Amino acid sequence: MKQLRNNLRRVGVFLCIMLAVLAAYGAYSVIVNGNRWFSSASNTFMSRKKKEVIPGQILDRNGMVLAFNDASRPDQDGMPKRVYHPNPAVRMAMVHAVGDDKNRVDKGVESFMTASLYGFDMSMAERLSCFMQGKKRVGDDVHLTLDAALSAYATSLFPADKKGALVVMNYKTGEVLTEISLPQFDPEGFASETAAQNRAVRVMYAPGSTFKIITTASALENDEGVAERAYQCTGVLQVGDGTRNVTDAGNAVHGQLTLQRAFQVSCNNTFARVALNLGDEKLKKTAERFGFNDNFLFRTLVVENSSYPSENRTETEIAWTGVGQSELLVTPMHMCLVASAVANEGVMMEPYAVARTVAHNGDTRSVTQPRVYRRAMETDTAARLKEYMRLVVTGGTGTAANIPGVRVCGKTGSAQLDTQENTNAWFVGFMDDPAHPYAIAIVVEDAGGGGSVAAPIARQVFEWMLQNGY
Amino acid sequence: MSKKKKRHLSPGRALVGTVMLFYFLAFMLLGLQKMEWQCFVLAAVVPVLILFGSVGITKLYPADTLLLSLVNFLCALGVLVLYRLKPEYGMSQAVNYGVGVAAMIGCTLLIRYMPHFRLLNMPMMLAGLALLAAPLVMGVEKNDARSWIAIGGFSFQPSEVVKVLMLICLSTLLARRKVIPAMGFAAVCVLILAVQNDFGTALVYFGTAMVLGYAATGSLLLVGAGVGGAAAAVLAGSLIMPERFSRAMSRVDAWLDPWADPQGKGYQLIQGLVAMVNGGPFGVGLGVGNGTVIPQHQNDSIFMVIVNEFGMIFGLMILAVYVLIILRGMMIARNSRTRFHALLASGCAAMLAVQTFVIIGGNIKLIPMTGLPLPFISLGGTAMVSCMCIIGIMQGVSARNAADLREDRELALQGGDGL
Amino acid sequence: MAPEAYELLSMLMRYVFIALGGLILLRAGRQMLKDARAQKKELKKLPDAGRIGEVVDLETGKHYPLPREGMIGSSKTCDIRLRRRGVKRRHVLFEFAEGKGVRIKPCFGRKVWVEGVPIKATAYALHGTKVTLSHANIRIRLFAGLNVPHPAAFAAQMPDAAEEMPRDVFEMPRPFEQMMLQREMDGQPQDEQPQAFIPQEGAAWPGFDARGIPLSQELTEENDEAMPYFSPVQRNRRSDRR
Repeated sequence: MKQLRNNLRRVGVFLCIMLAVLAAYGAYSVIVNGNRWFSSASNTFMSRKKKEVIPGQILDRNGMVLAFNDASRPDQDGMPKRVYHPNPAVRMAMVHAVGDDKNRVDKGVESFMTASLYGFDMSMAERLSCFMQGKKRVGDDVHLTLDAALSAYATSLFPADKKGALVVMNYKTGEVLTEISLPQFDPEGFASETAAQNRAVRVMYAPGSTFKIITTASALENDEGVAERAYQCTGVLQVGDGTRNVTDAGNAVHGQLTLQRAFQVSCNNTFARVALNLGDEKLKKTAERFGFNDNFLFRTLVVENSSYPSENRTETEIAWTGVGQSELLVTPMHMCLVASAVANEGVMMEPYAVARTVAHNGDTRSVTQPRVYRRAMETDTAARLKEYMRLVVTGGTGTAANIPGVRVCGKTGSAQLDTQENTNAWFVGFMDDPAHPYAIAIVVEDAGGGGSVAAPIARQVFEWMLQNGY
Repeated sequence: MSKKKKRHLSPGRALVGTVMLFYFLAFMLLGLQKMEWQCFVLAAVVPVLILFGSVGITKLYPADTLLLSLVNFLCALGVLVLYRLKPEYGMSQAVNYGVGVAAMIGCTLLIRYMPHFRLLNMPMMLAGLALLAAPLVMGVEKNDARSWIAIGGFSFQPSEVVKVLMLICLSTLLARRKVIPAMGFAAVCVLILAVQNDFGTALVYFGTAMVLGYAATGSLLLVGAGVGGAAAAVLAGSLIMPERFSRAMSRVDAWLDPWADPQGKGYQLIQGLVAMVNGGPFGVGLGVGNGTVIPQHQNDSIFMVIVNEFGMIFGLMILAVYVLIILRGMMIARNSRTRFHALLASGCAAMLAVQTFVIIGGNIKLIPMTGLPLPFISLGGTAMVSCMCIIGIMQGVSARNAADLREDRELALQGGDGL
Repeated sequence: MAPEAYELLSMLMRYVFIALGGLILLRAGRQMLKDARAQKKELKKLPDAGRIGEVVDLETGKHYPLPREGMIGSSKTCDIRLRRRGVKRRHVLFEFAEGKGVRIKPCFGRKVWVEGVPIKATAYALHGTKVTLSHANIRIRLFAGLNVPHPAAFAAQMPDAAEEMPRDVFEMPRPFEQMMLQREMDGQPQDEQPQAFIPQEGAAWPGFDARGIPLSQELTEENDEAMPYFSPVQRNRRSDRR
């Protein structure tokens, strides 16, 4: 009996722990995912609420009103109609970030910040006073970190009829200044399915040579003498069974070069060799340190997870991964984060698009504070990579991004796709200046070389920013 | 003036009083919304029923007041929420509650006065297996996995009845240290249920059997063997009956990523989660929520409706009430004089715990969803009766403990006539 | 009631409900603690609650309380832990059977003797039975008032004799010893064989009253606690005697 009593005591503890686990998991999953579930399209609880509350406005960082309810234009239910910015270029540029009232854009600010916009955070006192005065409740205003003018300008720089995305971030704080995706549509009009997709954060791309930043970081951290080693580029690197040997763009042969030179000219041969020397495990570990395979749960932004392939890791695949092809998948937002990490001494800040929410009566209800997302690499690795990226812009593939008098750093990329005739043009980079701490990532689909198509766009964006007080 | 009253008020009475107040206010509130006279009548009737159920019953037989109060709280919560969803649900649940109370009293008296079930054991086991297997032969399928049988216009779920039988049989066998027959019987029950696609109940049986096995033998090896055996059976099932298996696996897929199919397989889970989040910590308020959107809102996902309207904090409190009931059961088990009664009481507590874990776990996406009723709260006649029987058994053991204690006291003081 | 007004009221009431729920939990928890403490106190007052007697280790003289069912062995989890030579970790199972005595069942392959007789399956022990586990001898003593047959060896003893160790007090009735001593002192012939005293039904043993309480001591409130919890005379339900 004594043994039975002891066992029963343990059983009792186990049963209580079992139910406590339930409570803990419930609390955890609500804290982490709560807002996402709340804003998802399946939330039918909101439809009734939306008829009772006038949603708040959405404003950009300079106070420009991007979305508001116009009482002078009531819709069929008698509620004020949701109206977007009067300038079509501006509202089309912002449509993916802001979202629209018909839920065509998934997880734009309109749907993601539903709780604030429809006044769910209002206190009892406020509700009571509204009720007493017989007024309809008005939700909170959401102030974004995005700049509408910059977004409109950046959109105009893209070649006509080309799809793509562009992200600009402040790498010291994590504020996202612009997040545009092409093709765009008018929120007050019709949207095709491709136009509704947000290519900046929800569509996956192969990073191309921009991934060499991560390959280099991995090599610098894992391989002691890699910076001084001499590599030989013969134009063709035999890998695996020889069906997919590593070649360079335009079949270039670079001869003997160091890692730094290889980065500058974006030599595929060298980076394939570096990747093979490192081995898949170390490269994967560095990539995961940069955020690959991680579940991005940013507070105010929904970004699709980047993935580093884990199946079929043959020699050929590893070699091409080092170059940035193979099965790597990444969003332009993530590549902007990578560039930010290099600029910010190896620390990746969490990107956020909502600066603050303000109640209708003027009280600030919440402010988003900058938060560190993760440390992607050591400080000295970041310093070295910064130098390499500077050399790309001064004398390498990215000279089209150079601005006299400004330390622009960057990396170009031209990702090949079998389904396209031209490559995807990539450019990721930043301005290495504490007064102008901005990072950029651009991808233009089916457009050609990164240095020729994407780098000039970056230069123009940076110039505009410098001229306009950034 | 009122302070004096409180000091004389025993915590048992104060508890019942608080519960009565809770439901009085709740039904009055509902009445204000619906403006139906039935609500106001219920606002008076339900607290009186609670008073009777908690305090009045103790006059009939030595019952455990605390346990009764907590159980009545949960049952009344079920009636309240079901009434709010649809008045017919509330009424039928109230009837179920009445039947349940009768069953509870019956079970209590059974356990209190029947010292052991040695002779009845074999017939009970055979009857249990027969009842479990009955739906395979003459079953009516409801909701894809439910295993019901209909007898003369009255349909019930035999697996709920066999729960009680299984508890008694397992306890009898394990008390006499006949571990292998006990585990064998449990394994057969679980297999029959799994074949019927009733994975939720199978899991509850399995969990209870493991807990009882550990309590009786203290060997983790047994538990490990049981889990290993279950895994092997699942593997065998996937090879022998692939289409059945893939049907079951579709539930696992829906659990892993419900957003892949938000209008189809994942609908129930997503709507439940969204309801929970809409509630927030304090809930949207009684009568304000949109709980009818969730499929199975009256039995499987009723917890989500509660969390939606009363809030997540309240949901945690309900979980705590279940924990208190289980702890009470374990206390009763520890105070038992014989192995049989100790195992019986702890088996009851374990069964309630496992069932609560499985159903709420499925609701919050901790484990795949199964079609189990939340004890005491979900709509369902057989479920309510079986849960009340379990509570009745616990009370029977508790009454027996009290009688044993009295006997021991007499023995000690007088050395006199033993019983 | 207007929907907006009701919504406001409901939102106010949810705090009330949560507060009441918390109160319910608090009260229930407090009552559970109180019950647990009261139970413990109750059990303290009755140290023999749930026990049916005691087991005396004849070599060391230690007394172990005997629960209704359990295990004897050298393991820590045994109800009666005998750390003696030859006693295995789980040696015998015992269980109280109404009307039959204490059922002794040795675990698989253990050597157990009851009154010198080796047992294979089960045997019943009564008050005073000597059970031998390998090399350890123990004596079973049962409380009065239990539903067991009359013990094999008749036991009678003075209250203070319970403290005496390690002599086996059941071999010979003490008053008889005294009688022998008395005879010796009186100078009476000692070649007389001592006659075994077979008490008649209902008759009192010298020095005790009909109920078996020693005449020298009255059962009062104060010494109720001091009384050993068994009395010399066994009340038997069935009058089976050896």
